[in-house]
Amino acid sequence: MNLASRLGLVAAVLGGMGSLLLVLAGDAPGTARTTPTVRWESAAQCQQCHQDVYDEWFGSHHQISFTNPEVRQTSDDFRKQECLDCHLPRPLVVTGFGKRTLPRRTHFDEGVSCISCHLGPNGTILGRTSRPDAPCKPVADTVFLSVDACASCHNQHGTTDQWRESHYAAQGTDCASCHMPAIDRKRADGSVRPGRKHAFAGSHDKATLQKAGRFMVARDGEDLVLSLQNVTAGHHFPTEERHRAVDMVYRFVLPSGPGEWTRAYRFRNPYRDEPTPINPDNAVGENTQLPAQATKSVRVPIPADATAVEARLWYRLTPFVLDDDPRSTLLDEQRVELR
Amino acid sequence: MRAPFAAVATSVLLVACAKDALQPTWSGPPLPPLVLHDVLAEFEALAKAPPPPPDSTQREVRDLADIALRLVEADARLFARAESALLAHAHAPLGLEPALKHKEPGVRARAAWLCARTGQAILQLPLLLALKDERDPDTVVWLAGALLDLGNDAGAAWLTAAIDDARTAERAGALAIEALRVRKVELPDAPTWDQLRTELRRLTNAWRTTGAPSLPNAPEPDPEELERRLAAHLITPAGWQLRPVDEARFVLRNLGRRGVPMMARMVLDQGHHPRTMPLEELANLGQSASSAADAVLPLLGDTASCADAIRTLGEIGAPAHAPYLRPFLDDPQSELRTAAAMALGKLRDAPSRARIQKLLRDAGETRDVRVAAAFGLCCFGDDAEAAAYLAERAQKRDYDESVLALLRERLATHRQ
Repeated sequence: MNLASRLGLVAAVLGGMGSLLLVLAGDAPGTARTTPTVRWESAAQCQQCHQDVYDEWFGSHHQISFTNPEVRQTSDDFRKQECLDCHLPRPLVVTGFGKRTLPRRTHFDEGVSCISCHLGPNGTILGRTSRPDAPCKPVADTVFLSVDACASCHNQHGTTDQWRESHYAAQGTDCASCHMPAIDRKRADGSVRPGRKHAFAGSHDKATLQKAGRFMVARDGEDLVLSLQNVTAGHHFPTEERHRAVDMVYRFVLPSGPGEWTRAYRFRNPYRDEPTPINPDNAVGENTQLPAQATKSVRVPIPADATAVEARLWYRLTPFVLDDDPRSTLLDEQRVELR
Repeated sequence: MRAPFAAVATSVLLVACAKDALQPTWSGPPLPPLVLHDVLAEFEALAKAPPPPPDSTQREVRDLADIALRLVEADARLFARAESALLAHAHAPLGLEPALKHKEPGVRARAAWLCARTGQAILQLPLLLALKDERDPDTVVWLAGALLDLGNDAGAAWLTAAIDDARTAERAGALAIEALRVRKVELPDAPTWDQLRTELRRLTNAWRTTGAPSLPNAPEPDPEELERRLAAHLITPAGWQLRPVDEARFVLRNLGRRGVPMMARMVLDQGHHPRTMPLEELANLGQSASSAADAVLPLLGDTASCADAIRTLGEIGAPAHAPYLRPFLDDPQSELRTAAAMALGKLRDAPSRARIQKLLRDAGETRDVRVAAAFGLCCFGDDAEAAAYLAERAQKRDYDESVLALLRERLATHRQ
C-alpha cells in the first residue's frame, strides 16, 4: 500500500468515525438527537422527489391551516393560542400519534405538512415501504396512516371518537379510506405503485359533502316528510367545529307563487353558551349532528292549496350565513308535485 | 493513484457532513435534572371545591344579592341595608359571581361594581373571566374599573380603549381619574384625555413588567382559594376541550404575578400539553414571571418543551440563564435556532450577538431562522441590517405578514 492509499484509508476511517459519532449523538439539549445527516423539516424538501403529492397538498386545507382567512377570523388571528396546536403543529412524532399536538413557530406557510405525519423517531421518514435507496430513506411503518394520526387534531372536536362509535371502525374503514382515496402513482421509470391522494377532501369539497348525506323529500298523507340519512360519513354529519351546520329547508308553491323558505331542521353542535336550542324541539345545548348511518325525518303539514314543494339541503361553514354567501353550499335540491 | 484520492475526497465529505449535522459539544453549564411528575393529579385534588356553606347561608346571600342587584323591588332603606350586609358577607361571591353572567348588561355592570366594593381580591378571577367575553361596552368599563379597585392593573388597558370610544369615554374617564388618584398619581383638576391615556399606559406597562399592584394596600386574595381556583384553570389542558383552556389562559395572562408560582409548578407535569400551556403563559407574562426561570430551566432538556422553554426564558428575562441558551443557536433543528435567536436577542446577550448576526447573513439558513435573527438583533437596539431584512420581507411579501406584524408589535413593546 503506497502513501496515498494509506492516507485514503486513514481518511476513510476518520470519515467512518465521523459517521459513528453522528450515530451516537445523544439526546442532550443543543446536540444532534438523530442519526440522519439530512434533517427533514419542510415540505419543500419532499417536493423535490414527490412533486405530484406536493401539488395535491398545496392549496389543501391542511396546507393553508395557518393562513386560511376563515381560521384567522375564528381564532381571532390566533390570539386564541390553543388553535395553533393543530393549525401549525409540530410533527406528531414529537408528542405522540393520537395525543394532542404542540405548536411550532416555523414554516408558517406549510400548515399541516408532509413532515407533520411522515416524520418518524430519530428524524427518519415514515413510509408504506422501506426504501433505503431513496434520498429520504423511508422506513416502513403504518402509524402515520392510522386513525390515531388524525386523532391528534381531529378529535379536538370529537370526530375520531364519533368514528370509533360507528360501524366503520369495526369494519376497518378508516379516515384515509374516504379522505385520502387510493390512487396510482407513477414512478420515475414509468411503473405504477399504489398511493393515496393528499388533497384531504372534506367539508370544503362539494362532491365529498354530497356523498355524505342522502336527502329525501316525500309526501306522506297530509304531511311532507323531509329526511336526511348519513350514508357515507364515518362520523357525524356535519362534524368538527360547532359552527358547521347542515340545513334542510323547504317552501311550498301556492297558487299565488312560491312561499318563503322555511328551515325544517338544522344539524349542528351548539356552542357551549348558546342560549337557544338548535331547533325548537331540541333542548338548549343539544347536539343535533347526524351520527353515522342515522336518519332524521321531519314532518311538515302540507297547506291545502299547495301545488308543489321545493326543498334544499345546505351545508354552511358557519350558521350565521345566508344562502347567497359563499360559505353556504347547496348540496341537493328537489321538487315534489303535490297535485 | 486516482482511487486513493477519491477515497480521501469521500472521507472528507463524510466528515464534513458529520460536522454539519453534529453539534458542538454542550458548552453551557450542566442542566439541572428534569424530573417530570404527575402535577395534574395534585392540582386536580387542589381544584376540588370546598363544601358549600349551609343552605340557609346560601339563601341569605342570594336574597341579599337579589336586592343589592335590584333584581327585586325594595325601598331605599332595605336596599341600602342589603347592600352593606352583602358587601360585608364572607360568602358574597356566591351571590355576585353568577350575576356577572346575568342576561341584563345593567345587572352585570352592577355586579362588577359590587365585586369591587367587597374588597375580596379573589373576585379578580371571575371578573377577568367576565371581561373576556363581555360585549356590552359600558359593562366592560365597569369590569375594568372593578379590577383596578381590587389591585389588578390589567384593567387599565381596557379603560384606555374605552376612553377612545365615544360611547364609553365619559364613564371610563371618570373611573380612570378615580383609579389614578387612589394610586397617588398626580393629575390636574381637569386632566386631558391625553394625560389620562398616558397615565393609564404607564400603569399597564408597569403591570406587564412587575405584575404587582400599584394600588397602595391592595387587598390580598385568600391564598387557599387562589390556589384552588388557579389549580382549576391549570388542569384544563388535560382534555380535548378548547374553551376552558382559552379561559384559563386569559385569566393567567391578566392576573399579574399571582399566578406565577402555580404555573411554575405545573410546567413540570408529565403530560406535554398540561406543562406547555403554563409555559406559554409565563412567556406571555414577560418579566413579571421572572421568578419562574429556575423552574423552566430543566425543560431545556425535554424534547417536547425545549422550544417553548427557550422562548419563555427569553421573554421573562432570565439573563443568568443565557449560557444555557447559546448552544441552541447551532442546534440542527431550525425550530430551536429560531427560538434561541429571539430569546437571546430579547435578553440582549452580548456574547451571542455575533453568532446571531451570522445566522442573519447565512443565505443557506432557513428564512424562519433569519427572520428570528433579525428580530433578535433589533432587540439589541438599532440594527440597520436586521431592520432592513425585516422590511424587505414585508415589502416582498415572502414571509407570513401576520407573523411580521406580531414581531413589529413585540419589538415596539420591547423598546418601551
